[in-house]
Amino acid sequence: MFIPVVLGVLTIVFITLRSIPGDPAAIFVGPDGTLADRQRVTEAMGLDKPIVVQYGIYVWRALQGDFGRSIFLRTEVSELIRQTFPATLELAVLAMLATVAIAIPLGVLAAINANTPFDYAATFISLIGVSMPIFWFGVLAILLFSLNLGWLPSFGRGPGLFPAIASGDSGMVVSALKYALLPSMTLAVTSVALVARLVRSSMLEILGLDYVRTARAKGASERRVVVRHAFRNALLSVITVLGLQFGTLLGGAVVTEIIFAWPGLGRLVVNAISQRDFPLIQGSVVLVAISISFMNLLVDLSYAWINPRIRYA
Amino acid sequence: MRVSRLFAVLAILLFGFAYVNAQTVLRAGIDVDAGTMDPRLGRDTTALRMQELLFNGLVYLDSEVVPQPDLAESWEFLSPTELVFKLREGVTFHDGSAFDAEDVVYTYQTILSDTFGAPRRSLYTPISEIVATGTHEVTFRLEQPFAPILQYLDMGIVPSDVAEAQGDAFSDHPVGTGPFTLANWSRGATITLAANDNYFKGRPSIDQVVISVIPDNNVRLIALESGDLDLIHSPIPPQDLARLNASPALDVSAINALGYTYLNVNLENPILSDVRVRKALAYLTDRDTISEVLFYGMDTPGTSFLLPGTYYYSEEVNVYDFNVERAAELLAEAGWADTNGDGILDKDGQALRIELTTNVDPNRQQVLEFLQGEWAQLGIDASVRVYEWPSFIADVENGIYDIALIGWLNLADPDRSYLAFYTGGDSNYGSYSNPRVDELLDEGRTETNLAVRKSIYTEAATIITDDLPYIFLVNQGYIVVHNPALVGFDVRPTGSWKSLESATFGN
Repeated sequence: MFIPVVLGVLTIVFITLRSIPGDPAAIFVGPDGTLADRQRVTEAMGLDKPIVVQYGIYVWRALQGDFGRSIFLRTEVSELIRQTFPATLELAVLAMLATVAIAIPLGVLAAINANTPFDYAATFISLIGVSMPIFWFGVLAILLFSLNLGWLPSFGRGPGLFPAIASGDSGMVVSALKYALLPSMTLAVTSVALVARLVRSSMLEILGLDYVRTARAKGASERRVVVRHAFRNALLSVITVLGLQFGTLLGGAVVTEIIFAWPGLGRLVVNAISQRDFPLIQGSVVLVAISISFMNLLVDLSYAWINPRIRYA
Repeated sequence: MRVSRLFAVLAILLFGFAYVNAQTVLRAGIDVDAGTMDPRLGRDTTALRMQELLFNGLVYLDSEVVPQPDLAESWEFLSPTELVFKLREGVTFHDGSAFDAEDVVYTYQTILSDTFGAPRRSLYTPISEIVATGTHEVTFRLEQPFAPILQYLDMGIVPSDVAEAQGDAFSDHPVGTGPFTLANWSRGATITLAANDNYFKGRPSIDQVVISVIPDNNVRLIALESGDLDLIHSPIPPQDLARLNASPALDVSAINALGYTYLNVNLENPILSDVRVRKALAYLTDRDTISEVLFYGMDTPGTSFLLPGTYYYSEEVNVYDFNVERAAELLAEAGWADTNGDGILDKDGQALRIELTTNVDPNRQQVLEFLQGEWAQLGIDASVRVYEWPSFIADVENGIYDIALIGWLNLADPDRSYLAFYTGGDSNYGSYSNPRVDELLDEGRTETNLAVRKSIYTEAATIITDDLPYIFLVNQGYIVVHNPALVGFDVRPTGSWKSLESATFGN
């Protein structure tokens, strides 16, 4: 399954890039370049070869993990990805953790207290979270926490959380978390709102089922009913959405990365697209596609753990 | 060695505040990362800026864009096609090796090579030969007299043996003669420069320059205001300019940059091929309002391709002050009238419809929407389309547009406009052709007497502003906002940061 998905992604990216207007050679030589300069660059990039030949070379190399060199940055695509992907992953993982930590309790509490002021407040906040543009929220957060209060840095990744954890220096970890707090919360806003609403509705549905009534009837404590009986079943649909959300967080980090000057893959790809840097776009998109497929695999495996009725042969 | 460097950088990032109190680290914010640190390959503004801090050229361009000696001590034209440079002695590269004539020859030979792929190669193609005529003397031979040559010789000189041995890796590990060395470069995040202890003009008093890449214009500004940065520069949101000027905690400098924004008219379009229609549009284009209201005075009204602040600036060109009556007369003269009463001018059954296009940029879009409204009052039906740069510029290059809003940058010499106005020139997108302008552009390219050259370009600009292949809108401004403690930072039209080599932090 994995290989066809990767081949499919490779092909779609290739066709899309070749069919949109804009010539990398023209962008490379710039407005001052002559047509002769452009022709020379086109040949150097191998873009003068027949499209089928270009496709063949590209797929053959890609399958061996070689995405070539970035046209504009003159560095191996794999090296650029190695430098920037950890930052994006860090942001997505932190946002995911924030989503789980905030959205699940919020949704469960809203379901238990359905149709009370707490529930209405939670729903209201969720609606704002879903409908608020990330860039606006991000700039407001920087204005408040960096400019007015001066609590958090206004931009950048600082030392980076992964390197800080690897170094084992607790001071460095705290510093990295300070840098990561605003961007990861900003990125998490939409998914927190979405997941909280989902948890609420699944919990409400399950709390009305017969077996929950049975559990209560046999004298199980309310806490045990909610956590052991109802929540575990509600988790199934929540995990599915969380898995999909992770893909969104990974791909959606672009805007957050731009606002917070976070040195991640998303920004690299956006620049690459505006320069038509074919090798860099191809390599990055394939990597993100593979990460999302891998996440889906984890989600599938987790079903068996959550629901013993599901077994993979 | 590398590990200790990494630690040094991390320590600076972490304990930046401690260093800042000692006022020896400059923290700057920029909008885009450099694509390369190799001066020969530089194409974006950040790369060009970094190359000046890491390298030296034979000359550098001062505040009036006049070439001054840098690695060259002096120069002399032996004939109009032979230029000899005497080089400074005793200069060393960052790796300790000595600078000599071979390095100059190597730098320019690689730029001119067919295979190297230098983006600015076309500026140097009039050079037919570069020879080391002594250990510290270089002779440039030209195919024909090429007046702007000195303006372009600010290209950073690379050490021939290191650059040759490193190949593509030189982009990431530059070795120059400049005031700073590259301490660390984290792509898309930070560029850290360290003072060069052996700089031939004396060690800079700023120990470190930490340049952070912050793409969002508003966030860069907030970072400066919240004290996380010491210096930012254009692009700065124009609407914030008044507030910045009023702030005592910030030092704001605004000057004319070497660029302008204009409307490129496609002369192949049957409506726009009539010069009366173009003049009517020029009279209907309120440049003062565009400058003051849409750009908050940051960009000033433009008149021609000869820029204010440069030697060649001239006021003797044709200027079109906002004049609706004159525009209406010209349109009537050209035969346009609203015969069917639909509010839109027409002629021979064809309505006066024009599409205005530009790339995604809030200010540019606003300008087009403003013009759309202004032009509508005389019955011109203008539509606006804004799209992504690569697609937009591909359409313009292929002549698929009516009127396109574009800009030119880095016009260190009027000859940079040669290909834009010359008949059949590669960047003459609108198919403009005037034999007299062609003659003048050729003369300007070879004339070495400055006064004569100025009169040549004035005549060319006068004809061009009469023919109107371009409707000039605004001259771009360059703005630097910095912590007032930074003293001696000289804001230059080229956008150069070279003066950081002598700037200090006063307390």
